[in-house]
Amino acid sequence: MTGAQEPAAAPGASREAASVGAIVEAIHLSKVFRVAKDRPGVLGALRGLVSREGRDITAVDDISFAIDTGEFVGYLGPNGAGKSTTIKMLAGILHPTRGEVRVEGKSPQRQRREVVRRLGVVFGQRTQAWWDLPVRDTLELLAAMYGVKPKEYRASLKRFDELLEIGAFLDVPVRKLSLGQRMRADLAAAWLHRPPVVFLDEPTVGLDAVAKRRVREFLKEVNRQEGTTILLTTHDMDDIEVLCSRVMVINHGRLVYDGDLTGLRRAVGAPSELRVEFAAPVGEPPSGPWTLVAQEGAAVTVAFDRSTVTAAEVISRLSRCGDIRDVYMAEPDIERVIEALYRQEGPGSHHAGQSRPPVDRRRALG
Amino acid sequence: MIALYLRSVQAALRAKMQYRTDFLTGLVLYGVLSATDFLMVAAILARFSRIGGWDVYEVGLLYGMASIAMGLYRTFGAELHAFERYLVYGEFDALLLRPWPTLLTLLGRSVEPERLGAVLQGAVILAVAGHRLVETGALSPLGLAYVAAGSLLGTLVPLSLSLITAAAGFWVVRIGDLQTFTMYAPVTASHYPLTVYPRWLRTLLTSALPVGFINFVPVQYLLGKGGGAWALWVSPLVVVGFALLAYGFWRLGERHYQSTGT
Repeated sequence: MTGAQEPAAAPGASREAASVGAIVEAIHLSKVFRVAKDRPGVLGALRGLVSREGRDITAVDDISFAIDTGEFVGYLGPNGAGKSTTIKMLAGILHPTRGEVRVEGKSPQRQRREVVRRLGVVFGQRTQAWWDLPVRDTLELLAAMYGVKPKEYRASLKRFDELLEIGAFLDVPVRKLSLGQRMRADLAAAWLHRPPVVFLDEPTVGLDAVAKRRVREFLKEVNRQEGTTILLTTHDMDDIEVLCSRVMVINHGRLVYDGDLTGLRRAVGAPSELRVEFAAPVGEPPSGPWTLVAQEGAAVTVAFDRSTVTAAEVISRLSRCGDIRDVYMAEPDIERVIEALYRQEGPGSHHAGQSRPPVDRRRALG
Repeated sequence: MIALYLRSVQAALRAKMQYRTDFLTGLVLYGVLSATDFLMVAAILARFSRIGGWDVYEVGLLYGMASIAMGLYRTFGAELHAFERYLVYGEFDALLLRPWPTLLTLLGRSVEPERLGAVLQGAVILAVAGHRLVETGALSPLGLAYVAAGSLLGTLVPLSLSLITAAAGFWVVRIGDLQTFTMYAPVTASHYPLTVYPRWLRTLLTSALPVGFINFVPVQYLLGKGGGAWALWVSPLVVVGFALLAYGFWRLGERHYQSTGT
């Protein structure tokens, strides 16, 4: 991916250096929606057209990040946090109020057709297929639209059948498919032209466990095999745990976290739990930099904050109470981590310490 | 680009043919509906013999042209006609994700071939009226050919009016009511000689809502009822120019699209 495509000179070296390899970039991205006052009737509609009265809602507030080629990024946030608005700006559907988007160095707003030709987008809530036509017809039409050659098309179809088992319902009209089948068809449609970048907005929403697993396996596979860069929004924490090497959390339109999962747990300081089995019951409840969760005979469970004390230290302190026979670690549930983060980040209380802009992250990674 | 559009239309037709009976009944229905309309005009003409100085065959020429233009628009512009849905439900998102001009993707998504019933009916009226007028020497055969071509080109007028209305939707979202004023009313008005309308309305129908250029302006000259030879080349120019203007407005509106919340 480097080499031949590299520009001869890199002006503005410091900024360029920060985004080497970045395939998707958001640069100080903001979106403000103006919600017009609702006025009844035709006259009201006309007045609404003329007057600029109304209130502004900032859906996305000065977000910056850079995603590298091949990364698998989870984009998290409560409903209405600005996830979909961000994705729509990245995909060129919405024009940012301020800031800019770069996909492979191009603006999806100004060079929409060039950018979307190399983009795949899946909205979990709605299908892009022809409702009344068999899946095959949709795929053929898309192949024509994106200029996929017949040979590549046949190869893709075969691969999708292996990974998604779409062969079984290729000739069934889309309206007759189950939700899981439809999502598989949508994934095949999104990957048909082998886009280097794919945005997925809640691809597992409403699916049963089996269908979810199949979708995840597919995503993992294409990310690994074809190096597709993937940005995914979800409410399903398993999606994140299984798939994402990096997590971005948005709340009230602001990016409140950008990093890996471990870092997220640490940043929130959600307690890790440690269960220790002593050789013999300990009389006194052990005290230390933790809170006691349970004590039953020889078994003691404590909760501690990884940002202030390490697990090794906790074990070493506990071992003073008696011989330890066994140790069990329980990491905080990611769902609880996220909840804790949402609670911390109320409107207007932006803790700089927890939000790491992409440049810093990159420096930290070397 | 044309090839892709045809492919899309082909797929849309296949989807349509899943409901074959609907298509056949629709075809007959729209033909009969449109013919009934004209029968009423003919009945009035049989009684008064002239409307605004035009006899039944002359009005038939106007009527046929407008019916063909409108019928073709309703056939191929079906998706544009129902554009409000794209704005209300945020379905326009999907069009922006395809590497083609949004209008092309939109129009390719569905056709309503049953509307050809109205086109067929318009063609029949045009043929009967044209035949008679050529016979009596009121219209030259070349003039009739102009009329036929003008009917097809005229499709651009309702299409453009609809496009402008749809583009306005990028700001106001609800365009169902607006469409009545900007498209239905003017196109219906163009079925009759503009001379029957008051001056202000006639001005409106040959300027901001230029339906007069589908048929009235050139036909008036061809039948020796007024205007000059300029009408023959100005009319297509106005029609095409108006279409370009409409497309420009569409492009402008597209950039203003706000999508919907999830």
